[in-house]
Amino acid sequence: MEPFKQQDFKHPQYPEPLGPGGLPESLQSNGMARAAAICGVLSLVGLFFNASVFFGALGILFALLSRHKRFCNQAKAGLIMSISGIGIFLAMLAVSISILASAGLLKKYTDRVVHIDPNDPTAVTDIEEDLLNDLLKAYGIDPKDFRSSQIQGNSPIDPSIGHDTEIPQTGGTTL
Amino acid sequence: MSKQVSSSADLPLPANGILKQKARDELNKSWNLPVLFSLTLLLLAAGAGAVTLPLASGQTPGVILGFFIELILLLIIRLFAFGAYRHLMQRIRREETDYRDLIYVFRHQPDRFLLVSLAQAGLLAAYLLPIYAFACLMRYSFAVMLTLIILWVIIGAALLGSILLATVQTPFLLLDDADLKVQKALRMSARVMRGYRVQYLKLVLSFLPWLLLSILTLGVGLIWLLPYMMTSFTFFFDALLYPAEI
Repeated sequence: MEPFKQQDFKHPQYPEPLGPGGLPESLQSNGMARAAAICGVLSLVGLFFNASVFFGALGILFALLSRHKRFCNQAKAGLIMSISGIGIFLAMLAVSISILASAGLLKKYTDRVVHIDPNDPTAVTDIEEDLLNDLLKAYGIDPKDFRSSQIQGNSPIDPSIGHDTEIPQTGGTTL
Repeated sequence: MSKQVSSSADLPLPANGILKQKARDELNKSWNLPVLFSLTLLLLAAGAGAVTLPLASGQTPGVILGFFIELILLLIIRLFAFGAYRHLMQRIRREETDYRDLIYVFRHQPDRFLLVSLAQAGLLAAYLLPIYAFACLMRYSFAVMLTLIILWVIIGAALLGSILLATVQTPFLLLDDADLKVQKALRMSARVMRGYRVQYLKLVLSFLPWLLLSILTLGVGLIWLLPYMMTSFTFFFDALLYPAEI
């Protein structure tokens, strides 16, 4: 049987051995660092489809697992993007909650979500629809107007551009 | 083949951070088999849960039956886990490894490993039963029983933790030596862990933030976290038993 030989841990005062590409071993990229970078990007992209926490947490995990003595550049980038993705998501969540609270709807919808019927397939969409209606009402917008304007492509929020108003043709700029 | 167990008293155990770094470095060379093993273990555990879940939500006899079926399935899954530990042990010693390591325990006296697992499950049951008994008696004297539950949860956890920490190296010792008997392995584990139980506990607790992070990934992160934890524990065992080689 081959004797068990550990890899030595180099004393910090001695120069670190260089790996391929001329970088110190601790800064060499590996599969985990690449995965961390990809998850970091997905964490930022995931903000558009509510997946930033999933990819962000995975990115942090991969970055930490890739660490030798220090983080390599790819892992560092992945870590920063993953943390940013989660941070932005949490900030957006906080803003949403504060909007709900300022409209006096937080308790009502927290109760509805807590007591949701798991057997009702339309329960979630019902809550979403009611929430949108209540928020529109809270900000002085008629939900019916909002829906008809959505179909026509106009915004009812700006009173100068109603669904009866003609949008002035500016003609744009010619380059 | 086993090596001569050396005394660990004269050489200090490396810090947990160093053991974890060694584990990461080792795994970063190739994640293939550890990830495959981890995925297998997680799928088996999920399968065991899926089998017993319908029973757990039914009547009392069904719940009890479900509990025993789950116990048996978990014991079998533990044998696979020991196989994965064997693979990691061979790997960090630069010995031959392949995917059949996962079923190593099934081919090499599985009764020894089952006995250890049953003993540990028995200890856990001995800890949980008084809590269940006190909870059943709560209708007679709520305050007294609640106090007893809280006391037992604290004292019992300390006792159970202490015993489990003392016997934690038993499966590694059995994997290391095919001829070792369970009783001797238990005694040897208690001996080698003397003075290192707190460090092992710290090593286990250091993975708590990682586990929380894995929850955010809906459990997907466990596929990579499990091999990392297992490799760290294997390095701990090697550092404990063969300090001259670490």
